Amino acid sequence: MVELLRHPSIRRDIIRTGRASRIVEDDVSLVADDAPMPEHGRVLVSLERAAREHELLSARPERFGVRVPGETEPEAILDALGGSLASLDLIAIVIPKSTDGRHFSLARLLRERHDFRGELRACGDVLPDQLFFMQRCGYTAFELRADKSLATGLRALEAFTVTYQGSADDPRPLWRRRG
Amino acid sequence: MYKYDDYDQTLVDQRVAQFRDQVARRLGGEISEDEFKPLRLQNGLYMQLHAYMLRVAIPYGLLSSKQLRKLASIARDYDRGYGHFSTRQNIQYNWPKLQDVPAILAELATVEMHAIQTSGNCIRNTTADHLAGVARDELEDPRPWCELIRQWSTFHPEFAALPRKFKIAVTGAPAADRAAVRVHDIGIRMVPNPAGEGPNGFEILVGGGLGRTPRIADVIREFLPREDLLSYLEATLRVYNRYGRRDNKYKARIKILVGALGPAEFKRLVEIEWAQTRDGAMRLTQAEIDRVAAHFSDPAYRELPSSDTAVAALGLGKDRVLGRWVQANVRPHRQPGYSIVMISLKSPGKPPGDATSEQMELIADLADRYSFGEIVVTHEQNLVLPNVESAKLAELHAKLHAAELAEPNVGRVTDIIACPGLDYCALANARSIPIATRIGEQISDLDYVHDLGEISLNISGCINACGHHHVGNIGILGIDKQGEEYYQLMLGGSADDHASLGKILGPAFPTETIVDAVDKVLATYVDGRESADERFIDYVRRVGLAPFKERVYG
Amino acid sequence: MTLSMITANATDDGAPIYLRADGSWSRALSEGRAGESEQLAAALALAKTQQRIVCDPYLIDVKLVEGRPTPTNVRERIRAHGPTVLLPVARAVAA
Repeated sequence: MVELLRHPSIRRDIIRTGRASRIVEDDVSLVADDAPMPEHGRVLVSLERAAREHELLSARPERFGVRVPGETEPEAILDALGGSLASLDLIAIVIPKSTDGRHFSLARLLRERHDFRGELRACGDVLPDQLFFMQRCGYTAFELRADKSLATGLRALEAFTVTYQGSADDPRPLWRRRG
Repeated sequence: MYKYDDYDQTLVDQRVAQFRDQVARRLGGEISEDEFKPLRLQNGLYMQLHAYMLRVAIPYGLLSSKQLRKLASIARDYDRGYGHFSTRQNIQYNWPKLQDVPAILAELATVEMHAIQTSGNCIRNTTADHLAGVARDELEDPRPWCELIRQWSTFHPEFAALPRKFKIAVTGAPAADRAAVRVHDIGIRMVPNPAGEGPNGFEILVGGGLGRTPRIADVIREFLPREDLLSYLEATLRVYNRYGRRDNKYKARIKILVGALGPAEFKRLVEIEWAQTRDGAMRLTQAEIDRVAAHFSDPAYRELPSSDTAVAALGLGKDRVLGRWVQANVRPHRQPGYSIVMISLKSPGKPPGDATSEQMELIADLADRYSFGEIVVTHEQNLVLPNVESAKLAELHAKLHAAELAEPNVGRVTDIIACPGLDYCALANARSIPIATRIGEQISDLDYVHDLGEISLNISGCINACGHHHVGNIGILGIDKQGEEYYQLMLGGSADDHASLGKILGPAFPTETIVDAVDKVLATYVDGRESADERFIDYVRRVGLAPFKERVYG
Repeated sequence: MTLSMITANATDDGAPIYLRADGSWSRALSEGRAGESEQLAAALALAKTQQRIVCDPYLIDVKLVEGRPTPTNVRERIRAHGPTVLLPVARAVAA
């Protein structure tokens, strides 16, 4: 009997930013710690699994991503991966509660201190009205909470055309950008 | 004062549009109250006992007459004809309807005002010395720095979901702190350059606060060069955002973190982070410092001779109504021939800090006529006309007196600082306004009030301490004892450069006897002081609580 | 004896409202349905779903005084009554 292995992830729509933000179908599979690794495709694993199977994961043509809780210290990610983020093309940060803002600092540090260039994805308790701040902190993809409207999220990304302070999107405060 | 350019205006306009959309989604049922709550809080909209309450920001307390007129018209058109000035230099409206709030915010935006971040777990209104720019004892005007902090903190994307609220205060008078910097999350004092020459800089204090666990702030940096202000604040906030407690709402302020780590370790963490950013884009340029400072240049003062003698003479003159007002409500100005005029919003029988639309409009007119169109809100719930020609004092007084805005009690015992309390606030355990009005009615003899001299009396309706009772010379805290309102009395608090927290005198008083207890406290002072020149707070510090305990409970 | 009553704040203006026996909301506490808390459980659950009209419904303790419900604690008494201080308009009218 042949068992059909199904990926445990749900193929959902997410928002990805770029020159224009769009709703796209998620192309990444979340692989549980004890599940077999799919042969192909982009995968997302826990930090523990990434540490354990680093060589294997790095050998994949598509590279891989790690999924970490919002209160993680950036150094913990580096330590798990041998001191460099270069093998990663995705970091998914799980926000436990929208009121827990630690992930904003984590995102900025990953971008600005550790020079991470891959996709930075917000998942967990992600609400549309926070996307603007998340984007400024370096997030480039958003898995909204299941009951939340992606269309509202897209709109929320456009809420402001002026920002006062520097952040991951542009380190210059407004007064360094003023005409 | 700071005038918006296109960037500043666009930001507030877009915020109005964003909130309008959020309100529509709430009223349309797309989002629940639980999700809407943090959104409305970030726009200063609370749910209180009887209605919503909207807290409008008045950055470092500074208002133009045009803005004050708009606040008056909002009270008239959307509320019940009055507003309440708060202990953080903001104004509160007690009766807005949810569907009207976007329109109110749109009106505010037309006069460069907003309600951004006046609530919620984010950086709140940065407050300042209400005599900023005009006080004689000021080292340097702190207002340009407050404006720089305001812009840096507004919609800061990293600090939108802090463990708890965050409050910053700035003083430009290092020897005369009128901004209560030592009981703020971050307190900033402008200080001279230790090299003896060169630009002034900042002393940074962290971890002060009132509420359940009152604490005096620690100095973590004795001298910070001015251009490093924003990068240092950002490093401090980042340490708080990452390591502040989030498990217990009552242990989530930065003062708990500083207390737990100790100031030395806290400073170490901040400065490790700061070392990475201090040379970056947040370092202020002279151009930006100059650009903002230019908004705060002197008004067109006339060249006048010194008026100190003339003002003193008015204070002692035959017209005692005018004289008492000059002695209590007028302060010396650094510009010869000018005075600072305080308008007391503490009349006997009226809720402290409230002003009607009519009163606001009158004060706006008087500001135009006598004070270059500017008004300042103090954190003690009064107003200031900062630039009045001393020769016009009598004329101005007559107009204020006719409008019942000349109560001569600023800094005196009936200049009561009181939170809205259980009459309005869902958090309160007891009412504070009736206690304040009863005290004001009981201690009505103006000569007695004058003789008592400088006394701060603060009333909070609950432990959240919005009335700042811990730092009142006399502090009253409303508590719930078996479902009834009781009041704890404490003495010896102070929010100035010798900041101290008040000590509880003894068992709490029911509503019926708290006012008499205050009377006895004052009588103890009058009977025991060395002379009329020994201030109440100095007497308390000298003799301790024993004589008061005996008189009040004995 | 202590009974319970369901109250909330009206979404549109934040005013305190009280659930009547027929399931409608009143701005007068005297019209609210006083009952045992178990009896009110279903009504409370329903009220929590009516976010468009009401915010954060909860139970308060009331006792019957001469047949009329009165809150047992001072906060809810003030909430039902309104501020105990005269508002400026009332003050002007009184003067």
